[in-house]
Amino acid sequence: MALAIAIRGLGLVSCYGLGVARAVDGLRAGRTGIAPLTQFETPFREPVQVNPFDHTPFPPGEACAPAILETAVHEALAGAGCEAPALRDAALVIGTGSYLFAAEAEYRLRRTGSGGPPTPALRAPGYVALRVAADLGIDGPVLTLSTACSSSANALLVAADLIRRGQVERALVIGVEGLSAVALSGFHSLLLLDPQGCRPFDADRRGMQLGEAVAAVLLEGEHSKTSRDTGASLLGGANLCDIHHVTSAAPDGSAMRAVMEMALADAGLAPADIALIKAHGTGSPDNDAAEAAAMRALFGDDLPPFTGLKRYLGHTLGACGAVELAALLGCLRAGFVPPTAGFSAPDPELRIAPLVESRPAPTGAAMLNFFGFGGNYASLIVSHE
Amino acid sequence: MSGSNDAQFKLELKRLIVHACNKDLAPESIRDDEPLIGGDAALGLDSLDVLQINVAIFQRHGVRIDDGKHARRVMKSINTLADFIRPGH
Amino acid sequence: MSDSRVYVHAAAALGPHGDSVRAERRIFSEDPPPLELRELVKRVVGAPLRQASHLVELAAIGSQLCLQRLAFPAPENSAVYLGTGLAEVRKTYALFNQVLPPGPGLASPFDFINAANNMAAFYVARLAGFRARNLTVTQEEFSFEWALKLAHDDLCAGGLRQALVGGVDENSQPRAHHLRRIVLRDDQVMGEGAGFLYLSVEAQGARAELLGVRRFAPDMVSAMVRAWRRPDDAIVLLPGFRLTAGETAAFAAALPAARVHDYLTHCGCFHTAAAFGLAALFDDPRPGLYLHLNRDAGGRGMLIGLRILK
Repeated sequence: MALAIAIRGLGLVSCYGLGVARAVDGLRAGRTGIAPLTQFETPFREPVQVNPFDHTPFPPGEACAPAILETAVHEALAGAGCEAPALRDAALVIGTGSYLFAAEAEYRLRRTGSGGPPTPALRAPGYVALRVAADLGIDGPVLTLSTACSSSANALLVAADLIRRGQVERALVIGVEGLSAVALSGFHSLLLLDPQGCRPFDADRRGMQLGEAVAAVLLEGEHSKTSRDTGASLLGGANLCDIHHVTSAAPDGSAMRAVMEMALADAGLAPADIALIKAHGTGSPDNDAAEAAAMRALFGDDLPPFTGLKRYLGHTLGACGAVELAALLGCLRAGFVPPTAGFSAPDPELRIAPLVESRPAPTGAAMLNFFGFGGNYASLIVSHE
Repeated sequence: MSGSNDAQFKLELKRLIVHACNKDLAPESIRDDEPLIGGDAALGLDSLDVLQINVAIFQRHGVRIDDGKHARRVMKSINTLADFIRPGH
Repeated sequence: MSDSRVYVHAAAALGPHGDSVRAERRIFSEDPPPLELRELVKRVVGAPLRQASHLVELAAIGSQLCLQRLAFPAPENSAVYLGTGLAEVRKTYALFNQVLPPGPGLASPFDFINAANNMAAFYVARLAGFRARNLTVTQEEFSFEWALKLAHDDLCAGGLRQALVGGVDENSQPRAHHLRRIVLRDDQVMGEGAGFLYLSVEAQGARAELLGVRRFAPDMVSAMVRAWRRPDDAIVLLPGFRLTAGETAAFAAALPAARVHDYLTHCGCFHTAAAFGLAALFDDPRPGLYLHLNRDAGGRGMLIGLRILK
């Protein structure tokens, strides 16, 4: 493909509040959005650190989901100097791990009424996409991808392909994930939550920290005329399946390396062209080790600086592709690379360490990696001016 | 009495493991000292099975391990697991 | 887009009776009894998948049967595109009961991992040894259509040479809730199953040609068919579960001499029933132009065109 796609607008609802700018301010100040969970009960006793956002501006129950998505979309449209009618023929591609948060919100809402426990709504995940498309007047292709933590990275790739192949002129990509008692309990049962919050690539890392966020990204062909521009482009990317194990990566990082190489090839670049890596960096002992092995193997002694964002924003699972892209591009546009919050002690077994101090934004391409359960991996290559 | 000295308790644990992990064998066929985890073990439990059993044991006995490596050590055999849950005096 | 062609080399449809060949198909006028797949998994996959869910079992059996019917070993750079409308509804339901008040307990690790919507596609890839692109699409009635379209477009674009494409969905209890969840009438059969097609850009040895997956408006169908049709093609319409009898009759009337094939009697209604319907054509493949039409609840239509070769 190797045809760059312009990233015209970004929108973000995160633990820093509404808007990309608030997240960038937080990241520049080195402030993480971490807090003890208070939003709802969990079935386990241990305290847990999360990155929640304020839900009070949004309607209660499952109606919250389309409302939060549309808030992020309106910011992306405003940033692109675009009105909603421009979306009429656009594609809408959503990436999410699940809408459990919305189903749980509905369950809690109905449970406060009389009678016994309600039946969980558990609607087909595609309903949110159809609702958002209807609200925004989108009449183009509408689809939802659900590939665990790479969901919205894959949504960006699929949307870019729709543009490259001339099927649409522009595409709206949304990554969405909300905090869920089921997900927290699930990761707790898998012993994958670090009670102190995540410490990516740190010698003492013990697991992840969940967050919630929604990001919207407006993509267009480079030739399309829009009044404003983020100055950033999606140069390429790749997705593949690591079939080693349901929850753990091939320990040598071979599949992670392969997806990075495929992404570079898709963008027509070599490892030396990469000036910055946004690592997946969940803080889970095995995943970070495999990711470090993959980066060492691919980049050798010329490993560019790499950073992780998951202590700032939480692991936003299916949303992290779009969310971390939006946050990183926001920082780069503001002129800096955020260091890896939560990292302090290098792990001798990893032999590499992430950025510990903020740096000026480099020129050149950046690689963003996303590695999910079920071996679903995606790597994106972007540039910014 | 420590767990490993209680045959009835150990049979309960075997049933719990077979049930939790959807194993296709008679619980009685598991020996008290045979290894449970890994490709060489007759039962052949993997890391995910260990987590599944960990949750089942918490629900039944209120004891939970919060570290994967520790859980694998505890579930080395039925005897070690039984003594972890009921250490005796 | 180029004039690249995409071909079907093997197919398998698994129905709600555990049926996978013509002699095993059943006609359902009411809900099928609960389906237990453990033995069939052992027979088809060669080993039990004891950590897997029912939905994963459906996908594992369907995909493995499809690959076993392939005349050549599928290379590891085959991609996987899987559509599922409701995804893991049973496991998600189980997790709600485990975790949320009043039941609170810890989430079962097996259930939690299975509840990831991409777990079926992971098992499909792992059992087949496929290390390429792997996408799970969930878009209600068009989950399979989109999986098939993404595969078709990627194959036409030239970077990819072969792909396994499937649709899978499971039913759930209580019935009334399931019907509401997928917007079915009480007189419709609550189905489940899986359908898989192995696609390649290679024409040699192909059993069918995938002509395309398109959005349609009712008045456009005959124009699309005109572009696809060859003079000697018999035309067969496969109406999806959202089409009313009136809509089906109108499409049939607009396409002279079209025959209507009601595959839903064999599989019941579910979001990805189209995958079953198309794959089951290969139980007894008869040359012709096959058109699958369906609508979503919002009224959009999608059309799949397939020519079974002589």
